[in-house]
Amino acid sequence: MIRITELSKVYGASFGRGGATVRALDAVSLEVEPGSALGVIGLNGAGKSTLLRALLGYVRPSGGEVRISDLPPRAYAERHGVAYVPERVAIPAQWTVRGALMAYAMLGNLGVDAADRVEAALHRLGLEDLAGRKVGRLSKGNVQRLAIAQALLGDRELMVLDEPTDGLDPVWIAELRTIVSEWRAADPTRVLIVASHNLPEVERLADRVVVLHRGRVLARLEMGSGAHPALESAFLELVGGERGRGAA
Amino acid sequence: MIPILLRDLRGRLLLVGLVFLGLLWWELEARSHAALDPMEFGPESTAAPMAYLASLTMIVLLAGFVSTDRREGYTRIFFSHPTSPFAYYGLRWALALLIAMGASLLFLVVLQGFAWGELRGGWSALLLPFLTAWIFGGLMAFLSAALPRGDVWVAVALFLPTLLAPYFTYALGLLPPVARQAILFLVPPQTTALQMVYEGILLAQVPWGAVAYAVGYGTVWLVLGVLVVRLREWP
Repeated sequence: MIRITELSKVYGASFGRGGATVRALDAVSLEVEPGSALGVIGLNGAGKSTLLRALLGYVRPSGGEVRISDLPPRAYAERHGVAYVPERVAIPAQWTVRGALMAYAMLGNLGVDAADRVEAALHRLGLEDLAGRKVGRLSKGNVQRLAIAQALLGDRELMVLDEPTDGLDPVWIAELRTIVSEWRAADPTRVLIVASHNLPEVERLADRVVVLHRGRVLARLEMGSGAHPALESAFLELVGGERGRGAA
Repeated sequence: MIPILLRDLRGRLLLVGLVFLGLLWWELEARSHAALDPMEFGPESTAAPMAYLASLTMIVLLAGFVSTDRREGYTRIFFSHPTSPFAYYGLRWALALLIAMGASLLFLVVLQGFAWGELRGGWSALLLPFLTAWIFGGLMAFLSAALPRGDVWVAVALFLPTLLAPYFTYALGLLPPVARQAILFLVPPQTTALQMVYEGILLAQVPWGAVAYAVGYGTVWLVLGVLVVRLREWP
């Protein structure tokens, strides 16, 4: 479903960066089959968010290419939509919770089903009591739940989650796991991409994990096979070794 | 989507309403004090206040319409849904144009109702607000797509020569010819093509060359705005 070939992204020089360029991704190649769940982990600045934004077509590759169902990412998103929870969730503060979901449902061309789907998403994320509240008055955790709710509005084939547990309490972290499992179970061809620093959650959600380090794929790990029962240990070993080599 | 966009524009629509009432009062005041020249105060003469109304409506409704979404990061979720930025911003732009023209038409009808107690026509006067709405719509599309903030102030600065046309023309006359031509090329053609169109409307002889120039001017900025939206990455 997703084919990433030699993807590179270099952010241009700017005054804020002292005139230097930043190589966020460097020749990253990946294939994600229908029905699979890929975790993306790495240190801060490893390129995780840039990789996910390239999947949405929000950033233009400096080299290489991304294809989703044989389409460029922007064309795919505009045709099919992506269930996306960004790392920094931004929703107009003056919108109410229900109004925001309604607006996203309209953008998603959900037509006559829109109202029903909005109510279902409100219910699933436990937001009914907050439906009339303005987004600007929500806690961080509730904004995150709203972001997850909007991602569930349409029947998307691709879900991209960037730090999805950010701000969630332990109950909703566990609930998110259930939501994602149900979403995947509804259609076995659906694809999940999840990037997070919450390694135990990535381990639970993903079938396979790529470790990004300084914009490159450092390792590919299979989950659930017993080979890596503790992703955190494997990650620290991998990245610790790389950092040691970098220091030397 | 339109009801949601209109709900978001409530505050701005109120501002447009105030501009509408202000211009109506100004125009009725002028008519009540002046010796009524049928040319200067005939039905077609409402083209001028309607042009102000249409320009300001476009500026108010389109202020930050791309830049705010980009700056605040709203686009991240917006465009993960199956919609294109062109469809979304195009709808907002078209809605603003529709409101500007609707407000102009309402102004024409209400003003004539107050002034004469009846409708006396003058529909050709709507050409001028259409041109100014198109021009400022194009400018706002470009400015909002290209600038991170402050598009509205640039647009207001470009609108001011309309209100201060004699001073603007005088100041231009003090400049070297090259600078004068450059400024006339860049700023909206209030003192040139639109003035010709206004006079043409009063004389019932529309100068179509001037109309084409005004449409072309707005279209160039609109196309540049579309290109900027297409070429820039989303945050």
